Amino acid sequence: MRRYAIKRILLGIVTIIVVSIIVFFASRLSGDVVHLLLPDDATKEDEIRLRAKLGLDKPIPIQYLVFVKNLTQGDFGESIRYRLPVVEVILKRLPGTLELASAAFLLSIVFGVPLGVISATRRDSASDKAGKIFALIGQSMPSFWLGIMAILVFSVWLQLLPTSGRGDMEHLILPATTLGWFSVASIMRITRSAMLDTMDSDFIKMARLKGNSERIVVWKHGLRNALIPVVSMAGIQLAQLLGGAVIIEAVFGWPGLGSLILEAVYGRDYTLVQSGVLLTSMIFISLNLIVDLLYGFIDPRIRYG
Amino acid sequence: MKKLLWIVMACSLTLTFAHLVVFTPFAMSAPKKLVIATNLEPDVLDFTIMVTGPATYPIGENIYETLVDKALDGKRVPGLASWTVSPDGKLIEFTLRKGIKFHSGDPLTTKDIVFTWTRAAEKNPTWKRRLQPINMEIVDDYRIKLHFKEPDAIFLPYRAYLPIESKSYYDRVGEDQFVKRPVGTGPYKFVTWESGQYIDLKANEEYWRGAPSVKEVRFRIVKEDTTRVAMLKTGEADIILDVPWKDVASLRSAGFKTVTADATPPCSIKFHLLNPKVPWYDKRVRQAIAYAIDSKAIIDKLFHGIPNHVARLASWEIGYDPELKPYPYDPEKAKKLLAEAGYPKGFEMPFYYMTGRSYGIKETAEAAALYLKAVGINCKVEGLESVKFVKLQREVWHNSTDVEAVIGADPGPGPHYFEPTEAIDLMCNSKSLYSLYSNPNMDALIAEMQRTLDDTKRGELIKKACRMLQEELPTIVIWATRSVYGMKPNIDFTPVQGIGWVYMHANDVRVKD
Repeated sequence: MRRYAIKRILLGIVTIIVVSIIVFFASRLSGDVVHLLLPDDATKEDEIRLRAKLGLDKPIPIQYLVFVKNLTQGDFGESIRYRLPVVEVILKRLPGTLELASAAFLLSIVFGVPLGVISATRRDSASDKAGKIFALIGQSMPSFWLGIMAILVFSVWLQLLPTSGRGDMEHLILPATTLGWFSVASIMRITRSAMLDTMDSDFIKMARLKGNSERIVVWKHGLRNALIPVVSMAGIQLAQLLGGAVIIEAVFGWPGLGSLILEAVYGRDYTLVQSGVLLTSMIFISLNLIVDLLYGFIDPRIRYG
Repeated sequence: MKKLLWIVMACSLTLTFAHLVVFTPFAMSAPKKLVIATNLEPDVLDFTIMVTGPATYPIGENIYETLVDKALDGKRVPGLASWTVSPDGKLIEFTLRKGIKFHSGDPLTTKDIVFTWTRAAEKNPTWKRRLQPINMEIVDDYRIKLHFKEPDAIFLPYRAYLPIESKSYYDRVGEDQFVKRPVGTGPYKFVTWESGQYIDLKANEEYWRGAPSVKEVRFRIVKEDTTRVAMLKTGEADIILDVPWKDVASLRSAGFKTVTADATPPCSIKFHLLNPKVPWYDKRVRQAIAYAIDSKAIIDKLFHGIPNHVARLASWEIGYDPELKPYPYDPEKAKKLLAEAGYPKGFEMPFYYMTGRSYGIKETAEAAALYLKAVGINCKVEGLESVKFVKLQREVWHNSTDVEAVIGADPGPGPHYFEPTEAIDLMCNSKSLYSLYSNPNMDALIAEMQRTLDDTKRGELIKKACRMLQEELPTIVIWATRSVYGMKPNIDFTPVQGIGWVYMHANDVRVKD
C-alpha cells in the first residue's frame, strides 16, 4: 500500500510541474497584456516602460525561472489587474467556490446514487424511465440555459428565490441545483451501469441463495462493490465542480474561482492565471490522489497491483 | 428500503419548500440600501493605479472628486476648484474651495493635488508623460499655479480629470491600506468590497455640497445581462446599469423607467490610407461606401434605435455643427461614384473587426458588408481577437505602406469622447498610433486645436476639422453608443451627460416613496 501511495504522490507532483510550465508559456504566448493595460493615447515609450515594469521584457524562459524562484519563497506574485497578492485574491474567492461545489456535489450523490440503484434494480419500470429522462435533461441542456430558466421561473415569475449573488441558503439553492443536475446525471448513470454489472455476479447469486432479503442483497452486497467506479467518477466530478463552475458563476453572479480565472485570462492577468491554474490543478490532482488511495482502501486487489 | 428512500426525499423537499415559504419574506424584504447592479467590477478604486477606466468610474466617482466638474448638461463647471487661464494659455491657476475635508478628516489643500498627480506619474508611464510638461507651483494651501511649456487645450477637459486623493491619509496608513480603504472628498464613503459580489458605500454627512439623500448604496456586481434585468424585475435591484438594448422596450412596457446617457465607444469604419494602390485611397470610393451603408437602418433595426446617429459629433460637444449631416443612404449615388472612380464592377475589400470587447461591433461589420455587397464591393469579413487587433494596428498597419486593410467596425475614439480635439487627434493625426491616415493639413489643424484654450475659438477649429473629415472620410461614423439605465418607477435619476464613460452618481438619485 505504501509503495502504491508514494508512486501516486510522485506522479501528482510531476503533473503539477508540467501543468505550471504549460500554463505559464501558453498565457504569455497568447497575446500581450500590455496593450490591454494602456489607455488610448499611450505612446511607444509608455508601452516599453510598462512592459519593463511588469517584468515582461525579459525572455519567457527567464520569466519562468523568476516565477519559480518566487514560488519557492512563497511569493505567488501580484495580480496585474487588482494590484493585490495573488494568494489574497484567490483566497477571497475560494470559499464561494467551495460552498457551491460541495453543495452541488452533495446533491449529486444524495440523488444520484439512490436513483442509479433504483434504475438498475427496477429496469424498464416507470421509475427507471423517469430516472433516465431526468438524467437526460441534466446532461444535455446547456447549463446557462438551465440557469437562466431557473431564474426566470423561480425568481421572476414565482418570486420565491433571489436571482443572484451569494448569501444565505436561498441564494445557494438555484445555482447548486443547476450545477448539480449535470452531476446527478453522471453519478446516476455510472451507479446504474455499475450496479447492473455487479448484480449479475456469482457472489450476488450466492448471497440470495444464502437466504438474505433482497434489500440486503442490493444495498449491502451489491452497492458496496458497485461503488468503486462510482467513487472514481465522484472524485472527478468534485474536481470539475471545484474548477469549472464558470457558467453558473456568471449567470448567478456567484463569486467563485472559475469566473475569476476566466476574467484573468481575458484580461491577460498572467500572474493570476498562472497561480489560479496552478492552484486548481493542485486541487484536482490531490482529489484524484485521494480517490486513488480510497480505491486502494476499498478494493484490496488494487493495493498490490 | 426503497420506500424509505422515497419518504426521505419527499420529506427533504417539503422541508426545503416550507423553509422557503417561512423564511423568504424575511430574506427578500428590501433593506434601506439603494441597490445598483453593475456589470463591471473595478480592479482597484484608486484612480492613480487603476488599469481599466470604464470599470472604476461608475463607483469611484462617488468617493472621489476632481478639480473640474461637469454639470448635468455636460457644461464644464468648477468642482473642487475654480480656475483662471492666462491669455497665452501657458498658466492655469487653480483655487481650491475652502473647508473641504476628506472622509479621513484631513482638510483638502494644494499639497494633495501635487501628491495625487505625482503618484499617478510614478505609477503610470502614461500619466507621467501627460504631466511632464507641467510645472506645478504651490502658492499657498489653496492656490496652485500650473506652468505649461505649450498651451494644452486637453488639460482642463481631460488631463485635469484625476480624482484628488489625500496625502495626509497616505502618510498615515501606508500604501496597502490606502489602496484597500480608499478615502476621497466625495458624497459617499467607502465601507466594504466583497470581491466579485458587491461594494458598499455610505453617505458622507459632512459633504461640502450637502449630505446626499440616499444614505446607503450597494453596487452589486452582476456580469450576466439577463440576470441584471431579472434583478430589476424581482425588485432585488433599484437601478441597473447597461440595460441590453433589446430589453429596453420590454422594460418600459413593464412599467420600469429608463434613462439614457451618451457613452463610448462609438462604431466607425476606418480605412488604412497609407497605401496608394488600394481602391479606397480614392476619396470617391470612400464616399461611395458612406452612401452605400444605411446607418439609420442599422441603428433602428439591429440596435432598437438606441445608439446615436451623428455625422461627427453629438449636439452637446464643442464644435458641433448642426449643418453637418451624416451621409444619407443612397446606393444609386454610391454605384455612380464607384463607376466614376473606375470601379463599375466593384472590388474586393478586407473587412476586419475586433472581437470580444464591445457590443454590436460584429453585427455592424456584417451589416455593413451586406450593404456594400449590394453595390458591388465584396467584403472579406474577418474577426480579430482584441489584443492581436490592437497590436496589429499599432505596430504593423500604422507603419506600413503596402498593407490592404479596412476596419469594418472600429470602436476607436469618435463622437461622445471626452473632448473632440483628443478624439480627432487619436484617430486622424498621422503621429497617433491609432491612426491609419496621414494628412499634413489635418495634422496642422489638430496642432492648432491643441493650443487653443478658448472654447469658442477651438469650437470653430473643430468645426473646420469635422467638415474636412466628412469630405475626406478617413473614418465613417456609423453610430455612437448610448448607455441605458433601468430603474424602478419610484426612482428619479438623471445621469450626467457629456462625459463618455458610464457614470453612476448616487447622490443624483432621489427615491420617492
